[in-house]
Amino acid sequence: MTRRRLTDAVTALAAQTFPPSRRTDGRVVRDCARDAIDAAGLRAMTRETLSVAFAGLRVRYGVSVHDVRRAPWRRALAVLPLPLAAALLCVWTFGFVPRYDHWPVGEGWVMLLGGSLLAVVGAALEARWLIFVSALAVLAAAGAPYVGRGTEAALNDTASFFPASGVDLGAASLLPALLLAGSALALPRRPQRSARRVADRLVLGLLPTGLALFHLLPRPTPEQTMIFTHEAPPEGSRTITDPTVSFGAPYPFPELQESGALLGVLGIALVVAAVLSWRAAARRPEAALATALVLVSVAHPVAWKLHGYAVWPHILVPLGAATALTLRAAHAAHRSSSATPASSSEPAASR
Amino acid sequence: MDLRPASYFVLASLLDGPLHGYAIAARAEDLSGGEVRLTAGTLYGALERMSGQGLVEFDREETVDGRLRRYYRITGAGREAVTAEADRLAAAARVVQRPRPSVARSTA
Repeated sequence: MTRRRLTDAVTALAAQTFPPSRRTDGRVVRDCARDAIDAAGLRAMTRETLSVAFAGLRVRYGVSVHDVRRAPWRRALAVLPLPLAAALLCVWTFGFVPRYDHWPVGEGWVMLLGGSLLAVVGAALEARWLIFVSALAVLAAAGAPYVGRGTEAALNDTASFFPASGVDLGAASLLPALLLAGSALALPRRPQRSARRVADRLVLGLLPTGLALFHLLPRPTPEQTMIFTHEAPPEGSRTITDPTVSFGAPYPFPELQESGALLGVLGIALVVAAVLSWRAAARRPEAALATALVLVSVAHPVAWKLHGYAVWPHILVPLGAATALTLRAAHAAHRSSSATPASSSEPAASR
Repeated sequence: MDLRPASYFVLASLLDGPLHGYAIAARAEDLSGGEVRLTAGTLYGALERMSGQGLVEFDREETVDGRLRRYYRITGAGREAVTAEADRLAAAARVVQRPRPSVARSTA
Protein backbone atom coordinates (compact mmCIF):
# COMPACT_ATOMS: atom_id res chain seq x y z
CA MET A 1 0.00 0.00 0.00
CA THR A 2 2.82 2.36 0.90
CA ARG A 3 4.61 1.47 -2.31
CA ARG A 4 1.53 2.25 -4.34
CA ARG A 5 1.07 5.57 -2.57
CA LEU A 6 4.67 6.49 -3.20
CA THR A 7 4.30 5.61 -6.88
CA ASP A 8 1.09 7.61 -7.14
CA ALA A 9 2.65 10.61 -5.43
CA VAL A 10 5.83 10.84 -7.49
CA THR A 11 4.12 10.15 -10.81
CA ALA A 12 1.43 12.71 -10.00
CA LEU A 13 4.14 15.23 -9.27
CA ALA A 14 5.91 14.41 -12.53
CA ALA A 15 2.66 14.75 -14.48
CA GLN A 16 2.37 18.34 -13.25
CA THR A 17 4.92 19.26 -15.91
CA PHE A 18 2.18 18.86 -18.53
CA PRO A 19 0.56 22.20 -19.38
CA PRO A 20 -3.02 22.72 -18.14
CA SER A 21 -4.39 22.39 -21.65
CA ARG A 22 -2.90 18.87 -21.90
CA ARG A 23 -3.61 17.57 -18.40
CA THR A 24 -5.55 14.62 -19.79
CA ASP A 25 -2.49 13.58 -21.80
CA GLY A 26 -0.52 13.89 -18.59
CA ARG A 27 -2.96 11.61 -16.81
CA VAL A 28 -2.78 9.01 -19.58
CA VAL A 29 1.04 9.01 -19.53
CA ARG A 30 1.12 8.92 -15.74
CA ASP A 31 -1.28 5.98 -15.57
CA CYS A 32 0.78 4.18 -18.20
CA ALA A 33 3.85 4.75 -16.02
CA ARG A 34 1.98 3.42 -12.97
CA ASP A 35 1.11 0.26 -14.90
CA ALA A 36 4.77 -0.13 -15.85
CA ILE A 37 5.94 0.37 -12.25
CA ASP A 38 3.37 -2.14 -11.01
CA ALA A 39 4.70 -4.67 -13.51
CA ALA A 40 8.43 -4.04 -13.14
CA GLY A 41 8.61 -3.07 -9.49
CA LEU A 42 10.06 -0.06 -7.74
CA ARG A 43 13.29 -0.27 -9.75
CA ALA A 44 11.31 1.17 -12.67
CA MET A 45 10.00 4.10 -10.66
CA THR A 46 12.84 6.53 -11.23
CA ARG A 47 13.01 5.78 -14.95
CA GLU A 48 9.27 6.02 -15.49
CA THR A 49 8.83 9.10 -13.34
CA LEU A 50 11.59 10.95 -15.17
CA SER A 51 10.12 9.92 -18.51
CA VAL A 52 6.73 11.35 -17.50
CA ALA A 53 8.36 14.59 -16.33
CA PHE A 54 10.39 14.99 -19.51
CA ALA A 55 7.38 14.17 -21.69
CA GLY A 56 5.46 16.91 -19.91
CA LEU A 57 8.28 19.41 -20.32
CA ARG A 58 8.57 18.50 -24.00
CA VAL A 59 4.83 19.04 -24.47
CA ARG A 60 4.96 22.28 -22.51
CA TYR A 61 7.81 23.55 -24.69
CA GLY A 62 5.97 22.54 -27.86
CA VAL A 63 2.76 24.21 -26.73
CA SER A 64 4.64 27.37 -25.77
CA VAL A 65 6.47 27.57 -29.10
CA HIS A 66 3.19 27.00 -30.92
CA ASP A 67 1.35 29.68 -28.93
CA VAL A 68 4.18 32.22 -29.10
CA ARG A 69 4.43 31.80 -32.86
CA ARG A 70 0.72 32.40 -33.25
CA ALA A 71 0.51 35.20 -30.69
CA PRO A 72 -0.93 38.51 -31.92
CA TRP A 73 2.47 40.12 -32.49
CA ARG A 74 1.19 42.50 -35.13
CA ARG A 75 -1.50 43.83 -32.82
CA ALA A 76 1.13 44.12 -30.08
CA LEU A 77 3.38 46.18 -32.31
CA ALA A 78 0.46 48.36 -33.32
CA VAL A 79 -0.09 49.56 -29.75
CA LEU A 80 3.53 50.66 -29.36
CA PRO A 81 4.05 53.76 -31.56
CA LEU A 82 2.44 56.32 -29.27
CA PRO A 83 4.05 55.28 -25.95
CA LEU A 84 7.43 54.68 -27.58
CA ALA A 85 7.44 57.97 -29.47
CA ALA A 86 6.30 59.82 -26.34
CA ALA A 87 9.04 58.19 -24.27
CA LEU A 88 11.74 58.98 -26.83
CA LEU A 89 10.70 62.63 -27.08
CA CYS A 90 10.75 62.86 -23.29
CA VAL A 91 14.20 61.23 -23.10
CA TRP A 92 15.74 63.53 -25.67
CA THR A 93 14.15 66.55 -24.02
CA PHE A 94 15.86 65.52 -20.80
CA GLY A 95 19.09 65.20 -22.73
CA PHE A 96 18.78 68.49 -24.51
CA VAL A 97 17.37 71.05 -22.14
CA PRO A 98 19.76 70.97 -19.17
CA ARG A 99 23.03 71.09 -21.06
CA TYR A 100 22.69 72.40 -24.55
CA ASP A 101 23.38 76.07 -24.79
CA HIS A 102 24.65 77.04 -28.16
CA TRP A 103 22.81 77.91 -31.26
CA PRO A 104 21.94 77.11 -33.95
CA VAL A 105 21.08 73.60 -32.99
CA GLY A 106 23.11 71.06 -34.92
CA GLU A 107 21.53 68.62 -37.32
CA GLY A 108 21.97 65.79 -34.81
CA TRP A 109 19.69 67.42 -32.31
CA VAL A 110 17.30 68.48 -35.03
CA MET A 111 16.98 64.83 -35.99
CA LEU A 112 16.69 63.63 -32.39
CA LEU A 113 14.16 66.18 -31.19
CA GLY A 114 12.41 66.80 -34.49
CA GLY A 115 12.28 63.11 -35.28
CA SER A 116 10.83 62.27 -31.87
CA LEU A 117 8.28 65.07 -32.15
CA LEU A 118 7.25 64.02 -35.63
CA ALA A 119 6.99 60.43 -34.43
CA VAL A 120 4.55 61.57 -31.73
CA VAL A 121 2.54 63.47 -34.34
CA GLY A 122 2.66 60.45 -36.63
CA ALA A 123 1.55 58.16 -33.81
CA ALA A 124 -1.36 60.51 -33.06
CA LEU A 125 -2.33 60.44 -36.73
CA GLU A 126 -1.47 56.72 -36.96
CA ALA A 127 0.51 57.63 -40.07
CA ARG A 128 2.84 54.66 -40.53
CA TRP A 129 5.37 56.19 -42.92
CA LEU A 130 5.69 59.40 -40.92
CA ILE A 131 6.48 57.36 -37.79
CA PHE A 132 8.80 55.05 -39.71
CA VAL A 133 10.90 57.83 -41.26
CA SER A 134 10.96 59.81 -38.00
CA ALA A 135 12.08 56.77 -36.04
CA LEU A 136 14.86 56.09 -38.54
CA ALA A 137 16.01 59.72 -38.22
CA VAL A 138 16.15 59.36 -34.43
CA LEU A 139 17.96 56.05 -34.77
CA ALA A 140 20.53 57.52 -37.17
CA ALA A 141 21.21 60.55 -35.00
CA ALA A 142 21.40 58.55 -31.77
CA GLY A 143 23.66 55.95 -33.33
CA ALA A 144 25.92 58.40 -35.15
CA PRO A 145 28.33 59.05 -32.25
CA TYR A 146 29.06 55.35 -31.96
CA VAL A 147 30.43 55.28 -35.47
CA GLY A 148 32.44 58.46 -34.97
CA ARG A 149 30.07 60.83 -36.70
CA GLY A 150 29.29 63.16 -33.80
CA THR A 151 25.98 64.90 -33.64
CA GLU A 152 26.61 67.86 -35.86
CA ALA A 153 29.05 68.95 -38.49
CA ALA A 154 31.26 70.82 -36.05
CA LEU A 155 31.56 67.84 -33.77
CA ASN A 156 32.52 65.17 -36.22
CA ASP A 157 34.97 62.65 -34.81
CA THR A 158 33.40 62.91 -31.38
CA ALA A 159 33.52 59.29 -30.38
CA SER A 160 30.56 59.53 -28.08
CA PHE A 161 28.84 62.35 -26.35
CA PHE A 162 27.45 60.14 -23.65
CA PRO A 163 29.14 59.72 -20.29
CA ALA A 164 30.49 56.25 -19.87
CA SER A 165 29.84 55.81 -16.18
CA GLY A 166 26.09 56.24 -16.09
CA VAL A 167 23.24 54.94 -18.15
CA ASP A 168 24.05 55.79 -21.74
CA LEU A 169 20.80 57.28 -22.95
CA GLY A 170 21.99 57.34 -26.52
CA ALA A 171 22.75 53.64 -26.60
CA ALA A 172 19.64 52.88 -24.56
CA SER A 173 17.46 54.59 -27.13
CA LEU A 174 18.72 52.64 -30.13
CA LEU A 175 16.64 49.48 -29.75
CA PRO A 176 13.46 51.34 -28.74
CA ALA A 177 13.90 53.57 -31.81
CA LEU A 178 14.28 50.49 -33.97
CA LEU A 179 11.21 48.98 -32.31
CA LEU A 180 9.32 52.21 -33.02
CA ALA A 181 10.22 51.95 -36.70
CA GLY A 182 9.08 48.32 -36.80
CA SER A 183 5.89 49.03 -34.91
CA ALA A 184 4.97 51.77 -37.39
CA LEU A 185 4.72 49.17 -40.13
CA ALA A 186 2.25 47.16 -38.05
CA LEU A 187 -0.27 50.01 -38.11
CA PRO A 188 -3.23 49.69 -40.46
CA ARG A 189 -2.72 51.23 -43.89
CA ARG A 190 -5.97 53.15 -43.72
CA PRO A 191 -6.61 54.05 -40.08
CA GLN A 192 -10.00 55.32 -39.06
CA ARG A 193 -9.11 58.79 -37.90
CA SER A 194 -11.30 61.29 -36.17
CA ALA A 195 -10.28 64.75 -35.06
CA ARG A 196 -11.13 63.90 -31.47
CA ARG A 197 -9.09 60.71 -31.49
CA VAL A 198 -6.08 62.41 -33.06
CA ALA A 199 -6.28 65.28 -30.58
CA ASP A 200 -6.54 62.91 -27.64
CA ARG A 201 -3.58 60.89 -28.81
CA LEU A 202 -1.52 64.02 -29.48
CA VAL A 203 -2.16 65.32 -25.98
CA LEU A 204 -1.32 61.92 -24.54
CA GLY A 205 1.91 61.74 -26.55
CA LEU A 206 3.06 65.24 -25.60
CA LEU A 207 2.05 65.00 -21.96
CA PRO A 208 5.27 63.31 -20.71
CA THR A 209 7.41 65.91 -22.43
CA GLY A 210 5.24 68.70 -21.07
CA LEU A 211 5.76 67.35 -17.57
CA ALA A 212 9.48 66.98 -18.29
CA LEU A 213 9.72 70.64 -19.34
CA PHE A 214 7.83 71.61 -16.21
CA HIS A 215 10.48 69.73 -14.22
CA LEU A 216 13.46 70.99 -16.22
CA LEU A 217 12.62 74.68 -16.66
CA PRO A 218 13.86 77.14 -15.73
CA ARG A 219 17.17 75.42 -16.01
CA PRO A 220 20.16 76.51 -13.91
CA THR A 221 22.83 78.56 -15.56
CA PRO A 222 25.19 76.16 -17.28
CA GLU A 223 28.50 75.76 -15.51
CA GLN A 224 31.38 77.58 -17.09
CA THR A 225 34.16 75.52 -18.53
CA MET A 226 37.40 75.62 -16.55
CA ILE A 227 40.43 75.93 -18.80
CA PHE A 228 43.86 74.90 -17.51
CA THR A 229 46.68 76.33 -19.59
CA HIS A 230 50.07 74.71 -19.08
CA GLU A 231 53.00 76.84 -20.25
CA ALA A 232 56.16 75.13 -21.42
CA PRO A 233 59.10 75.72 -19.04
CA PRO A 234 61.58 78.40 -20.15
CA GLU A 235 64.55 77.30 -22.23
CA GLY A 236 67.09 75.48 -20.09
CA SER A 237 64.83 75.42 -17.04
CA ARG A 238 63.44 72.30 -15.47
CA THR A 239 60.91 74.17 -13.35
CA ILE A 240 57.34 73.43 -14.25
CA THR A 241 55.04 76.36 -13.70
CA ASP A 242 51.55 76.00 -12.32
CA PRO A 243 48.79 76.00 -14.91
CA THR A 244 46.84 79.14 -15.51
CA VAL A 245 43.16 78.73 -14.78
CA SER A 246 40.62 80.64 -16.80
CA PHE A 247 36.91 80.29 -17.40
CA GLY A 248 35.54 79.93 -20.88
CA ALA A 249 32.13 79.56 -22.41
CA PRO A 250 29.91 76.79 -21.06
CA TYR A 251 30.85 73.32 -22.21
CA PRO A 252 29.70 73.23 -25.80
CA PHE A 253 29.43 69.52 -26.34
CA PRO A 254 25.96 67.98 -26.19
CA GLU A 255 26.84 65.70 -23.33
CA LEU A 256 23.94 63.83 -21.80
CA GLN A 257 23.93 63.53 -18.06
CA GLU A 258 22.23 60.64 -16.32
CA SER A 259 19.02 61.94 -14.85
CA GLY A 260 17.69 60.28 -11.73
CA ALA A 261 14.27 61.84 -12.29
CA LEU A 262 14.05 60.55 -15.85
CA LEU A 263 15.26 57.06 -15.01
CA GLY A 264 12.95 56.90 -12.02
CA VAL A 265 9.93 57.86 -14.09
CA LEU A 266 10.86 55.44 -16.87
CA GLY A 267 11.39 52.66 -14.34
CA ILE A 268 8.05 53.30 -12.65
CA ALA A 269 6.34 53.42 -16.03
CA LEU A 270 7.89 50.07 -16.96
CA VAL A 271 6.85 48.42 -13.71
CA VAL A 272 3.31 49.82 -13.94
CA ALA A 273 3.03 48.69 -17.57
CA ALA A 274 4.32 45.22 -16.67
CA VAL A 275 1.92 44.80 -13.75
CA LEU A 276 -1.14 46.16 -15.54
CA SER A 277 -0.53 44.25 -18.76
CA TRP A 278 0.16 41.06 -16.77
CA ARG A 279 -3.19 41.38 -15.04
CA ALA A 280 -5.00 42.23 -18.27
CA ALA A 281 -3.24 39.60 -20.38
CA ALA A 282 -6.33 37.43 -20.69
CA ARG A 283 -8.42 40.27 -22.10
CA ARG A 284 -5.69 42.15 -23.95
CA PRO A 285 -2.79 39.85 -24.75
CA GLU A 286 -1.38 42.37 -27.21
CA ALA A 287 -0.68 44.80 -24.35
CA ALA A 288 1.37 42.19 -22.47
CA LEU A 289 3.25 41.28 -25.63
CA ALA A 290 3.96 44.96 -26.29
CA THR A 291 5.31 45.40 -22.76
CA ALA A 292 7.48 42.34 -23.28
CA LEU A 293 8.92 43.82 -26.47
CA VAL A 294 9.72 47.07 -24.70
CA LEU A 295 11.32 45.19 -21.79
CA VAL A 296 13.57 43.32 -24.20
CA SER A 297 14.53 46.52 -26.00
CA VAL A 298 15.60 48.21 -22.74
CA ALA A 299 16.93 45.13 -20.95
CA HIS A 300 20.54 46.25 -21.10
CA PRO A 301 20.08 49.73 -19.58
CA VAL A 302 17.70 48.30 -16.97
CA ALA A 303 20.34 45.75 -15.98
CA TRP A 304 22.97 48.48 -15.96
CA LYS A 305 20.81 50.57 -13.66
CA LEU A 306 20.21 47.57 -11.41
CA HIS A 307 23.87 46.83 -10.88
CA GLY A 308 26.27 49.06 -12.78
CA TYR A 309 28.73 47.17 -14.91
CA ALA A 310 27.53 43.73 -13.79
CA VAL A 311 24.96 43.51 -16.54
CA TRP A 312 25.05 39.73 -16.40
CA PRO A 313 23.13 38.13 -14.62
CA HIS A 314 20.95 41.16 -13.82
CA ILE A 315 19.77 41.31 -17.41
CA LEU A 316 17.82 38.15 -16.57
CA VAL A 317 15.39 40.29 -14.55
CA PRO A 318 13.93 42.24 -17.49
CA LEU A 319 14.37 39.34 -19.90
CA GLY A 320 12.69 36.93 -17.47
CA ALA A 321 9.80 39.34 -16.98
CA ALA A 322 9.50 39.71 -20.75
CA THR A 323 9.46 35.92 -21.21
CA ALA A 324 6.82 35.46 -18.50
CA LEU A 325 4.63 38.18 -20.05
CA THR A 326 5.04 36.69 -23.51
CA LEU A 327 4.08 33.19 -22.41
CA ARG A 328 1.11 34.39 -20.41
CA ALA A 329 -0.17 36.53 -23.27
CA ALA A 330 0.48 33.86 -25.91
CA HIS A 331 -1.39 31.19 -23.96
CA ALA A 332 -4.25 33.61 -23.27
CA ALA A 333 -4.46 34.54 -26.94
CA HIS A 334 -4.49 30.88 -27.93
CA ARG A 335 -7.26 30.11 -25.46
CA SER A 336 -9.40 33.01 -26.61
CA SER A 337 -8.86 32.29 -30.30
CA SER A 338 -9.68 28.59 -30.05
CA ALA A 339 -13.12 27.80 -31.36
CA THR A 340 -13.39 25.04 -28.76
CA PRO A 341 -11.73 25.06 -25.38
CA ALA A 342 -8.18 23.74 -25.38
CA SER A 343 -8.31 20.00 -25.73
CA SER A 344 -8.16 18.79 -22.20
CA SER A 345 -10.41 15.95 -23.19
CA GLU A 346 -9.22 15.53 -26.75
CA PRO A 347 -6.27 13.18 -26.99
CA ALA A 348 -3.08 14.61 -28.46
CA ALA A 349 -2.63 11.68 -30.78
CA SER A 350 -6.03 12.19 -32.33
CA ARG A 351 -5.22 15.70 -33.47
CA MET B 1 9.65 6.09 -44.91
CA ASP B 2 12.47 4.86 -42.67
CA LEU B 3 11.18 3.72 -39.29
CA ARG B 4 13.21 3.79 -36.12
CA PRO B 5 13.31 0.46 -34.28
CA ALA B 6 10.99 1.78 -31.57
CA SER B 7 8.43 3.01 -34.11
CA TYR B 8 8.70 -0.25 -36.04
CA PHE B 9 7.88 -2.37 -33.01
CA VAL B 10 5.14 0.02 -31.83
CA LEU B 11 3.45 -0.31 -35.21
CA ALA B 12 4.04 -4.06 -35.22
CA SER B 13 2.40 -4.35 -31.80
CA LEU B 14 -0.74 -2.68 -33.16
CA LEU B 15 -1.12 -5.00 -36.16
CA ASP B 16 -3.42 -7.34 -34.24
CA GLY B 17 -5.74 -4.62 -32.97
CA PRO B 18 -5.93 -1.49 -30.83
CA LEU B 19 -3.91 -1.41 -27.61
CA HIS B 20 -3.44 1.06 -24.79
CA GLY B 21 -0.12 2.63 -23.82
CA TYR B 22 1.31 0.10 -21.38
CA ALA B 23 0.07 -2.82 -23.48
CA ILE B 24 1.88 -1.35 -26.51
CA ALA B 25 5.11 -0.98 -24.52
CA ALA B 26 4.87 -4.54 -23.18
CA ARG B 27 4.04 -6.00 -26.60
CA ALA B 28 6.86 -4.05 -28.30
CA GLU B 29 9.33 -5.35 -25.72
CA ASP B 30 8.05 -8.87 -26.23
CA LEU B 31 8.17 -8.68 -30.04
CA SER B 32 11.69 -7.24 -30.02
CA GLY B 33 12.99 -9.89 -27.66
CA GLY B 34 13.60 -7.28 -24.97
CA GLU B 35 15.56 -4.99 -27.29
CA VAL B 36 12.98 -2.18 -27.33
CA ARG B 37 12.02 -1.01 -23.86
CA LEU B 38 9.81 2.04 -23.93
CA THR B 39 9.08 4.18 -20.91
CA ALA B 40 5.70 5.87 -20.69
CA GLY B 41 7.09 9.26 -21.68
CA THR B 42 9.06 7.93 -24.64
CA LEU B 43 6.07 5.95 -25.85
CA TYR B 44 3.85 9.01 -25.57
CA GLY B 45 6.30 11.05 -27.68
CA ALA B 46 6.54 8.27 -30.27
CA LEU B 47 2.76 7.88 -30.51
CA GLU B 48 2.29 11.62 -30.82
CA ARG B 49 4.87 11.78 -33.59
CA MET B 50 3.40 8.81 -35.43
CA SER B 51 -0.07 10.26 -35.03
CA GLY B 52 1.17 13.44 -36.71
CA GLN B 53 2.54 11.29 -39.55
CA GLY B 54 -0.79 9.52 -39.89
CA LEU B 55 0.62 6.10 -38.93
CA VAL B 56 -1.55 5.58 -35.85
CA GLU B 57 -4.76 7.13 -34.62
CA PHE B 58 -6.77 7.47 -31.44
CA ASP B 59 -9.23 4.65 -30.90
CA ARG B 60 -10.91 5.17 -27.53
CA GLU B 61 -10.34 5.88 -23.87
CA GLU B 62 -11.30 3.67 -20.95
CA THR B 63 -10.89 3.99 -17.23
CA VAL B 64 -9.82 0.74 -15.60
CA ASP B 65 -9.26 0.58 -11.84
CA GLY B 66 -9.24 4.36 -11.77
CA ARG B 67 -6.53 4.54 -14.43
CA LEU B 68 -7.16 6.27 -17.71
CA ARG B 69 -6.15 4.17 -20.71
CA ARG B 70 -6.00 5.54 -24.21
CA TYR B 71 -6.18 3.04 -27.02
CA TYR B 72 -4.50 3.51 -30.38
CA ARG B 73 -4.98 1.69 -33.65
CA ILE B 74 -2.77 1.45 -36.68
CA THR B 75 -3.86 3.25 -39.86
CA GLY B 76 -3.61 2.05 -43.43
CA ALA B 77 -0.52 4.21 -43.90
CA GLY B 78 0.97 2.74 -40.74
CA ARG B 79 0.31 -0.80 -41.93
CA GLU B 80 1.96 -0.01 -45.28
CA ALA B 81 4.94 1.60 -43.58
CA VAL B 82 5.60 -1.29 -41.20
CA THR B 83 5.13 -3.85 -43.99
CA ALA B 84 7.51 -1.97 -46.28
CA GLU B 85 10.06 -1.77 -43.47
CA ALA B 86 9.70 -5.51 -42.79
CA ASP B 87 10.28 -6.25 -46.50
CA ARG B 88 13.33 -3.99 -46.52
CA LEU B 89 14.77 -5.67 -43.43
CA ALA B 90 14.05 -9.12 -44.87
CA ALA B 91 15.79 -8.22 -48.13
CA ALA B 92 18.74 -6.82 -46.19
CA ALA B 93 18.89 -10.01 -44.10
CA ARG B 94 18.84 -12.21 -47.21
CA VAL B 95 21.91 -10.42 -48.55
CA VAL B 96 23.86 -11.55 -45.51
CA GLN B 97 22.28 -14.94 -44.94
CA ARG B 98 22.34 -16.37 -48.54
CA PRO B 99 24.67 -19.30 -49.00
CA ARG B 100 28.04 -18.35 -50.46
CA PRO B 101 30.51 -20.45 -52.45
CA SER B 102 33.66 -21.03 -50.49
CA VAL B 103 36.40 -18.63 -51.52
CA ALA B 104 39.73 -20.24 -52.36
CA ARG B 105 42.60 -18.26 -50.95
CA SER B 106 45.80 -18.30 -52.89
CA THR B 107 49.03 -18.23 -51.04
CA ALA B 108 52.06 -16.43 -52.35
